[in-house]
Amino acid sequence: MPLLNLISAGVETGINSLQQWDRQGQARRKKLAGKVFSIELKELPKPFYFVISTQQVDVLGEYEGTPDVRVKLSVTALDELKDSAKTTSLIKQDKLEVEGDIQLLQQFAQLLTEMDIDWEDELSRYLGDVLAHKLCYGLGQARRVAGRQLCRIQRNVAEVITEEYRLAPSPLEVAFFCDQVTQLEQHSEQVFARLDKLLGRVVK
Amino acid sequence: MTEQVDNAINQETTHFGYQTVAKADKVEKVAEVFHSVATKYDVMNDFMSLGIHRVWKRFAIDCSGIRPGQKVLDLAGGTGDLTAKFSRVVGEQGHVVLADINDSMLKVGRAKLRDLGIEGNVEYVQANAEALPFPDNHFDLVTIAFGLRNVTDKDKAIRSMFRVLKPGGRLLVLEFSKTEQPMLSKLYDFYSFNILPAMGKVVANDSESYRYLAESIRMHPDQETLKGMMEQAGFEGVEYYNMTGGIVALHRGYKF
Ligand SMILES: C[S@@+](CC[C@H](N)C(=O)[O-])C[C@H]1O[C@@H](n2cnc3c(N)ncnc32)[C@H](O)[C@@H]1O
Repeated sequence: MPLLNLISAGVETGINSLQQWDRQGQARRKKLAGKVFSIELKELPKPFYFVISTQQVDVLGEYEGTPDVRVKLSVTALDELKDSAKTTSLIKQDKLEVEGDIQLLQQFAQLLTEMDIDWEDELSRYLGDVLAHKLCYGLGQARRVAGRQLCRIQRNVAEVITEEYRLAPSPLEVAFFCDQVTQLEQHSEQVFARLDKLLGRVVK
Repeated sequence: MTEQVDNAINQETTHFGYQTVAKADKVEKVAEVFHSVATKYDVMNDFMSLGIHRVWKRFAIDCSGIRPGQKVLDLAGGTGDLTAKFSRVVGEQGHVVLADINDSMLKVGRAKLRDLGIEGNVEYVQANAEALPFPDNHFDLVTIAFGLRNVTDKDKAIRSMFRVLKPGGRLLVLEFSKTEQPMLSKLYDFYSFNILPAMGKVVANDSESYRYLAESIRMHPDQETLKGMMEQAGFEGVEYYNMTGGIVALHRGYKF
């Protein structure tokens, strides 16, 4: 039993850390406040109940009331849930069973998956504004530069490996090698054919 | 004659940890303990139980049958861990009373819950579990977590909880209990009497309070005894669940 409590504790902590950072989290929770969702993953023995309040999302292992929406699905379908276009096809494929208001369920899925997090702002709480800005700016810059560099690096590395260190064969060498292999193959076939003939004579 | 009466009064004693003290003194001594630990209570709780108390409380909540709109009494509620969750689940239509005998603990609890955004449906009441200041048949759920062992007259307290519950309501008692596994029991004793007071000294500069904690746990009635006490008070369908090898037990009983 406490193992499931441990899982629900982990899920709850995870969700609420992200919820705290989400700029639209509170507004979204407010719309769903008081609603209870029962989610049963096919991979787990029992459902978990998600109780929404303006403060946070609470995860319970037992709930004796009637949930507003009851869902049974497999972990793999979790991410597709927020896409309203896919819900019907999921249901048809038996990947998803729903009892209750599907729109509510989609709002809930959006609450959990479409988060609007200002990483710079969040980091600044821990690092201070200037440092966080530098870090985020730096990371953004780094990503752009890295993108450009990556192609160059790939080319350079290829050159270095093939020509400087001669660790790998150059394209020409590969072509030459392939030719040789083909020749060898032909030769060995000729050898086998002659062997066969010879063997035939011996047996006779 | 008067001397005999005096003697009788003097015999009104009870346990305070391993010491025997006059009943009237126990209340004061328990108050001292919780006044002195109030501000560090949460940190110490996490630290000393290695965070496991959260799992114990979570299990209790799962056994509570809590629903939107219900009325809950979190007795000996201290810094309000259970109250916070109850408040969110019962919602605007529901009501939670956090009651504790100790105003230092209540103050810390109130401040903490306000920081968590818990407002509106929670009321803070200073009250003794033995004489609850609430009407009969009032609550859907009464919980007392790690509180009963500090109460002087436990039978009286359990009767009082029975009285304030609605018919159909339930009582949850979460409390340290007796482990039956000899190895675990030895380990646990060593931890409680050697490591715990030392940690209390380092973190809260207060080894006495934590020695009291260890001793009061050993003096608390075991699983079957507490079950009997609940039945005696009128509770039905009483069951208990051992956790962490019986170090902690959750008792649940219904008033029908
Ligand atoms: C160990 S704390 C538990 C707090 C909280 N329930 C928790 O689980 O974290 C015990 C609490 O019981 C309170 N207490 C002790 N004797 C009491 C009594 N007779 N009536 C009500 N509360 C009492 C103390 O003031 C203290 O806050």
